[in-house]
Amino acid sequence: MQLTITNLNKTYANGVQALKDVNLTIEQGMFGLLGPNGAGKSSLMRTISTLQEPDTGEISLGDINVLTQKEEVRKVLGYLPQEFGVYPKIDAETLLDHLAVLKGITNRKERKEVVETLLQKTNLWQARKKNLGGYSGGMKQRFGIAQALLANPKLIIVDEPTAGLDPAERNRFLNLLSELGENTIVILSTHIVDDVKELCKDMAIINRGQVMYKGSPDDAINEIGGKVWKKRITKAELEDYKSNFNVISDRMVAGEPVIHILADSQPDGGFASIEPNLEDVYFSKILAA
Amino acid sequence: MWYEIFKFELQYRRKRMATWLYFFVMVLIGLLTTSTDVIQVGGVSNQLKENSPYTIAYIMLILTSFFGTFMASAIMGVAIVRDFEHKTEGMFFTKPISKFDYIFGRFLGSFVILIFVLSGIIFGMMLGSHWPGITEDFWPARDPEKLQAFSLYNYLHPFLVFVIPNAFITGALFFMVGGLSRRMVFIYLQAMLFLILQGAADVLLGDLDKKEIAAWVDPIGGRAFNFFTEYWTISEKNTINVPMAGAVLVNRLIWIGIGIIAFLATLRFFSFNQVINPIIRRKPGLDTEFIKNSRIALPKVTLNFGFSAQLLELRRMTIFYFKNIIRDIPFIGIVATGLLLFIFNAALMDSFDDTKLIPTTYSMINLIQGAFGIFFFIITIMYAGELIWKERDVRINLIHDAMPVPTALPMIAKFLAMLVTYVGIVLVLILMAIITQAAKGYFNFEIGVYFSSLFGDTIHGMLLWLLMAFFVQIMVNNKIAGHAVMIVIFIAMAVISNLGVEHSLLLFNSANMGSYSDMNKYGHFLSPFSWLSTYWTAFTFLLFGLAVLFAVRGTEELFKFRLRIGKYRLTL
Repeated sequence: MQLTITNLNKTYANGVQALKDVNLTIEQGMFGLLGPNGAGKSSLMRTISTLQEPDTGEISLGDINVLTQKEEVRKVLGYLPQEFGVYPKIDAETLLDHLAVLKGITNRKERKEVVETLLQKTNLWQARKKNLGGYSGGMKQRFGIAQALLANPKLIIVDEPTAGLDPAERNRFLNLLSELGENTIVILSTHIVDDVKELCKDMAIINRGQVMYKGSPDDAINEIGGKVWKKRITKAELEDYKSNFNVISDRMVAGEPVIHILADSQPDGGFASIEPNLEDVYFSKILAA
Repeated sequence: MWYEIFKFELQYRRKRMATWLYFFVMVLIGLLTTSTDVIQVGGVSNQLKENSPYTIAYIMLILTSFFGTFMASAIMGVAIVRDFEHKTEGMFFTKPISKFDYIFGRFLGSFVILIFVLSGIIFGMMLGSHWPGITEDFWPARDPEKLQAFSLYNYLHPFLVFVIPNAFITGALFFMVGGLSRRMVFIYLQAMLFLILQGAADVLLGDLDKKEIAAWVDPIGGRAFNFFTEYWTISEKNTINVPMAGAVLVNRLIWIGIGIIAFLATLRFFSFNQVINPIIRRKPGLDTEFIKNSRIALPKVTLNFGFSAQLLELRRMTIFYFKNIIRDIPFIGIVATGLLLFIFNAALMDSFDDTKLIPTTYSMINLIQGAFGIFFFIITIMYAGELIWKERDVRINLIHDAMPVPTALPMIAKFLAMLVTYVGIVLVLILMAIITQAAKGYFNFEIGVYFSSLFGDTIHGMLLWLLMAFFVQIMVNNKIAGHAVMIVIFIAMAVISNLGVEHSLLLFNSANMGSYSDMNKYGHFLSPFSWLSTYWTAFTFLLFGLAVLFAVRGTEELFKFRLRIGKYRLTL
């Protein structure tokens, strides 16, 4: 099964163009969607998840036309929205069971088993009888993850799943995702580059509704190999460098800015060549827009 | 500083739909009471005028002591609790404002709003008695014989002497309970509790020999009013406003004093701490049982999307929504008030004049439909909105909308949940009616008549309104506006039938089973009833179908897209 997105466009009523001629082909496995806040990641994911209509364009999942055969998509979909609420006066186990019924798991024994396993895997087992209103942000996020994984979905769309998770829970979740197997399409959006680096064989970087890069993280890194240079400068010089060089990132190291620039050859002796990482790719693609 | 907080309170409340809704309700109540014979003062003689100072004060007292108490709770109670509800308390409590500024500003702001809301009764009552064009057919006009010349002062005087002090007394008490308990639950319950206690005290005080003392201890001042006017002649009642003197003055002073004490107590005991030690400590809801098997794979499950799965989903969702309705505290409040009203009416059934009424089944049904009818309507409008907006209100809608469930299914479940709710209420009402009959020594229980009238007419009618409300909520796509549209439709139906549009095929839910009578049962009403109800049922089913087609699922709210999605749903 393959997810194909063709010429997808969407402009909101307030004039914001959320998707500009998006074309993507997503194979089975983990697919990372990287981009800054407001890049259009959520708009794209909601459209694939049957919750939003594009102005023009097509999406197909295998033989299914995603835009018209929404019901068929929902049968194989596991979706975690970026923001969601829960019924505050219901405990996690009850709500997860209820959602499992809606997902079509009608066999009581199977349902019990999958609900319990997911509660354990998301580390909510001990709090399963607690009302969701009393959950912390991270616990609620894990509940969202649990419900997205009910019913062995073939298409998993998780919108910023690691937001609000502590490092241990994040690792637990990434392990869980990687367990899901090869015959599932997992689309994971994030603005954390490491999430993609650790998990995805394939990725896309989008900014302001446009696909800036599509391919594997390794190819992306190779593409700018030997072109990234690093220099330690003073705060006063920062503006100068920004106007004279293609600065892709600046960050403070021990109180002094360290800049990364993109250039085909060494600009001057002060710059040292470095091995680029995915973050350099990310910034170079975002800034290219 | 308190002035800033006061000003903020006014601005905040001005933008709240509820403020205007409450005001409108007060106008409506005043209007309906004075333009109909719901409350009759002074019997059928024409001598005591319907707009005499005495009658105006009497009606105003009755109406505000009942509805005003609820509004005092709703408006004054939430003034502080609101911050805890919206989780904004941390923001306010850390600002360099004194406790006095915060509490006094909130109190005064809410109090001014409460007075504004209650003033609606003045407009309503004036309008009801002195409807412009009083002789026209447009509105059931009052008999000019029963009216005297209009005087604005006769409306303002009782408002100043009774309504404003009562608003302060109840308001200060409810403000204290809300502020100190910090729990929304009490806001819903305290008004009810206050009225029940007051009713009980009224019964006890009725036996008191010292009528003057009884006049003092009534917080609302009704007994003081009665005591003061006990020996008035009709001409006095037609001309004199009850002054702030004698028992009335003593009563007002005592209770305003108690109101001030309540306010001071709020000042003294309210704490700016975000967390207060609970009186009852609950055990933490943690389970110590821990199975560590994060290594095992997710089990494979069989998915079922057939008819049997949909039946199961329908059943589960119906139960889910039903529990959501009946555990909602406003619902409990509305039903409890309705039942209370039924009990009062049943108890007072034959105390209006000396004739003993036989509690026949049809008179009990009339009582149920009369006392509880408006509550059925309130529940229908309110919970149609709550149910349609349920997922979006708790913000689980995106998860829910991506489930492989046909769009119609949750909506049918919401419909069924309301049906079960209606049936539950009606069964309780029937039980209470039968108990009333038995208590009055009448044992000819006609269960079949109860069922055919209340299920065939009342519930059936409510289901039609419910489907209409679902349709309106989905089309309007705004909960409050949806409520407003429903109220407008309801009133419009009353108005256009008054305008002369009487054709049953144009008046929504016009099917009327008629009263059951022991003499000729349902008589000749039954056949047109079944035809009309089939007609209107078909109509609402059509509306429901349209609602399913255009229901918002996902984030698209523009009608252009809802139309497109509706087409996809049709081709399935």
